[in-house]
Amino acid sequence: MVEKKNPIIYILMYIVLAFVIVVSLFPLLWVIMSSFKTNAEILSSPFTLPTAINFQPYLHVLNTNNFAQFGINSFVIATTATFISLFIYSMGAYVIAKYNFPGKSIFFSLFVITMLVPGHTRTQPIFSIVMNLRLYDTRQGLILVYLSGGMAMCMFVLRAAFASIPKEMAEAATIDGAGFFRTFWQMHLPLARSGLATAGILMFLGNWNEYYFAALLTISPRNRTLPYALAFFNEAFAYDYTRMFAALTLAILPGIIIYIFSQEQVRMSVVSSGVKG
Amino acid sequence: MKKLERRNLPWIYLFLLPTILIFALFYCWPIIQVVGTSFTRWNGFSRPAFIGIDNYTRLFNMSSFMVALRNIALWSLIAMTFHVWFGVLVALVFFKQPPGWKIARAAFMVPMVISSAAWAMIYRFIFNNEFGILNNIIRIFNPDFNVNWFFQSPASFWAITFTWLFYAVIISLVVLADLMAIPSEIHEAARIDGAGGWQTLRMIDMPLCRFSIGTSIIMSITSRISMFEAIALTSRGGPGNTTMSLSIILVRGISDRNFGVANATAVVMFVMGIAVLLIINRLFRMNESVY
Amino acid sequence: MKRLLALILATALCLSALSGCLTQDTVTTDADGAIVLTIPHYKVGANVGARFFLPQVERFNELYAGVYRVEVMEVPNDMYQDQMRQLAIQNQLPPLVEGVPDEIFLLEYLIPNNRFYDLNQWLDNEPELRALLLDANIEHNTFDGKLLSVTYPVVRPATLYYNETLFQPSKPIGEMSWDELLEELGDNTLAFMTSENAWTTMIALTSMIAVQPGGPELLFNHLPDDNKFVEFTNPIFVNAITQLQRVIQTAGHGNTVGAAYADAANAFFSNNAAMIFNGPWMIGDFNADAADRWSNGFDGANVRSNAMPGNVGLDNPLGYGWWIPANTPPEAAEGAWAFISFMMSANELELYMLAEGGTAPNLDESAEFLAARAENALLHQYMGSINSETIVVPYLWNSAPGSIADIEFGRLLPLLIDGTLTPEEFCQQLETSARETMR
Repeated sequence: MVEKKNPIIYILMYIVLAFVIVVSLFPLLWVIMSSFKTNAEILSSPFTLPTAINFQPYLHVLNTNNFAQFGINSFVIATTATFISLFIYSMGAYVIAKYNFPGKSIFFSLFVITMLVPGHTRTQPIFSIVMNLRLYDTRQGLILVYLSGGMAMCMFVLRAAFASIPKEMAEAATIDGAGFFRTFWQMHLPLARSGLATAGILMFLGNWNEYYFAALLTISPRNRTLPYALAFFNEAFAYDYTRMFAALTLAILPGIIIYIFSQEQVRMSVVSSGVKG
Repeated sequence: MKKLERRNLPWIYLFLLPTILIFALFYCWPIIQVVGTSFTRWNGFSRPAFIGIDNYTRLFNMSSFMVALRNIALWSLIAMTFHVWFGVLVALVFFKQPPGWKIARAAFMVPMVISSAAWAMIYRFIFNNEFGILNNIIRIFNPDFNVNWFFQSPASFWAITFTWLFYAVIISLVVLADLMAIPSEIHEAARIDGAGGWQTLRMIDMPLCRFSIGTSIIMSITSRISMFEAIALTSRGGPGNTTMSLSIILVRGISDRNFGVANATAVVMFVMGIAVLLIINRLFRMNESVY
Repeated sequence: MKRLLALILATALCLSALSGCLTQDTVTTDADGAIVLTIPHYKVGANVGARFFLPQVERFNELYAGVYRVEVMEVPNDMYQDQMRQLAIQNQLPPLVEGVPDEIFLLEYLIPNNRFYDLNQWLDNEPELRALLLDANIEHNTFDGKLLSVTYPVVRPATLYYNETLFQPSKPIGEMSWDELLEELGDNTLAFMTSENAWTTMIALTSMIAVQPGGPELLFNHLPDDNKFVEFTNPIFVNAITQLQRVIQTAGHGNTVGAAYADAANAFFSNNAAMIFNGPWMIGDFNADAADRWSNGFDGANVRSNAMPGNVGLDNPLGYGWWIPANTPPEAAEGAWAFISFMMSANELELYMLAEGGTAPNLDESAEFLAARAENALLHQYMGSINSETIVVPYLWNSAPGSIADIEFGRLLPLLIDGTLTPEEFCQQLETSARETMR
């Protein structure tokens, strides 16, 4: 893809890339750095590097909690919910992007305004559903609720992804006489994979960070997720910045590690599927 | 986009069914309740008492309501004119795949890993007047600099704006996917016709990406309408009305257990969201085929 | 793709499988035959209440070994009442609950649906305990002759803490007026906050209301949910705001505007601000075991407390305490009562007051208790300053509408401090805003 270019354009491109990296990473780096400083250092000198690398605040957070278990819970719940909802929403977004049918705009509008439904009205119905299915304090209950989380975002991203597939490309890939489902599953889904990866990653991160329903619908430590566990370090009367930043770092880092790892996995599977885009 | 094909209709609805089920299970009742009780006086538990459009007239007469609308309009304008196009610019750079672009793409995603509550807290520290990093950098050049970003007017409006202004990774990825899908023959043909880089961009890439750009605009405006944590955990809509938003008015209603007014606010947000959806759909001709 | 399908099927199967949940319809017993009471609670982890509550549970379990055992499940502080509200609607509450989610929920739901045990059935048989409890609170908790809950019969007013290394008042602060205090302070500053809901600032403001004639009545009369205080242009309130503006403008610590609780507290814990307004729950932060969070030479041993200027303390006497939901099986309810009765026993009350401060008006304090309290300079001075003359009033946030307490006060406060709004304008805006969302 790299062509011979005007050097000015290259310089401009690198300015944009550098800016993107700085603006995205500096808040995170600052948080990590602050977690190694003492309360006094944070208050007096924002620039200085920590005087000593002290893992005490981390040990404090890790010791009082069974973090591995919570991390696994978060991962299992977020991943399962992401895969199921990705499958469901890709079918919905596919027909909205590719076909005309009565009620299309209404359905799409309804799916999109889910983004604007205030949380307070969802609490009671959801609690009731989860209770009646006898899924209170289970991982399955949370998975079920998380299916609903990324509806609007998925509709946006996946509809755009399916709409961007040129008809010729899909037709070229069409096996003669393929049925409706096979057309979707074998032609369009692989061609929309970058959209699927984007939606999947965003949905995973949304589920991974979700706190309110995790804290409302589970209670025993064996079903606890990471954001829920970290809430115990952000109590109302806390004033210890160091521990706050350490807890924040612990909340963010596993997500980033999983993201980088899954980014690699997504790319691998795209390569192995062998469909050229 | 294919024409209406009757024989496919059963399949189409079958494909929609799971999404509709999830909608019915998790959103249908809340939406009905929000719309229904917005015409009543309701404390959340008693029987709602029908009062017509009183909640709406009350809302429209609120001093902060018009300011909230103005702020959301201004934020939406900034989103449309700057935020989205910054995302598109990054997508164009990614599309050229200069060495190192993958690192930038991964870095750009990092802010999405951080929950909006944590993000707001981080920015409260960065913009802190005393020990925040921003003011301390500025003080190297101007030792007398003192701006309490989230807590003085009009700085707080821009401080809130900054918490999302450059974080456009979804837009970049959606547009990038669209750019990648442009058949290379089209670019080839343009080059043979003697089109320069700028012309190709304006005449070919942008029109062919209109669907993803339209989607990005809708997404970023609905995010501005529903933006809550970034405001509630920093300036709380203040100082005064500087960063007032509908979501803050809604929470005020909930705090007073006045669910009629709170839900009327939510209905206004629904209406704004649907209006944006319809207008941008029309403007970007998103119901017509791209190819 | 097949693997994906298999995964989906497997998960669907998991989803359909029924799994156990927290129901209290049946009584569970442990290996020793003790009835187990599993109660979710927020006084766990980093919560300031955990330091006293968890050992107390242990003492109970030891005393009742083989009969009852209380097991605490952790819930984050901000989620506890939300969880209880939802569990109440499902009639699945744990055998012991502390407090009610909100007054409307109590009046519109819990009481009409009869969701609680009448505690009188036990209390009537324990005259000693009844004598300890505070009448006003019992009356407030009685609905149709049935007693909903009991709270600690302890008055623990929120007041102020000051750093004696920075500021040595010439006489007890409770005996001063705000003007005298400002004069004595010199260059010392007071820690205030405007962010979050500005509650330490609101403690100071409440005391400024309470010292005016009619002030305490104003605070008490507006406690009921259907009669919240909205008339902020009332002269009493305007005077208090004028006072607050002057105090913050002359003596507020430099970081006041935009300060969250953590910022205000850190100003105090770093020898920068000389005084902070806060409740007795803060006492634990001055113990030597919290020293790793102090900075700049601060030492908790030098902290003293006193009544607010004008001899004021803040405490809401009309709160809700521990109650037993009606869905609890009778045997478990007996155990739940045993726990409540244990917490309120004379010995436990004294331990509680040594840990978190306060006085029990109906308790004859033991000599050991008084001796132990005298050893703690902070507690000694704090409790010594609270006397029968002290004006004890509820917090402003108990009397003001939720939107004012949660959002509007903090939203407008920076404008009062920088002088953009005069006290009159500030009060006018609060009143307009309160009326806008009033039911």
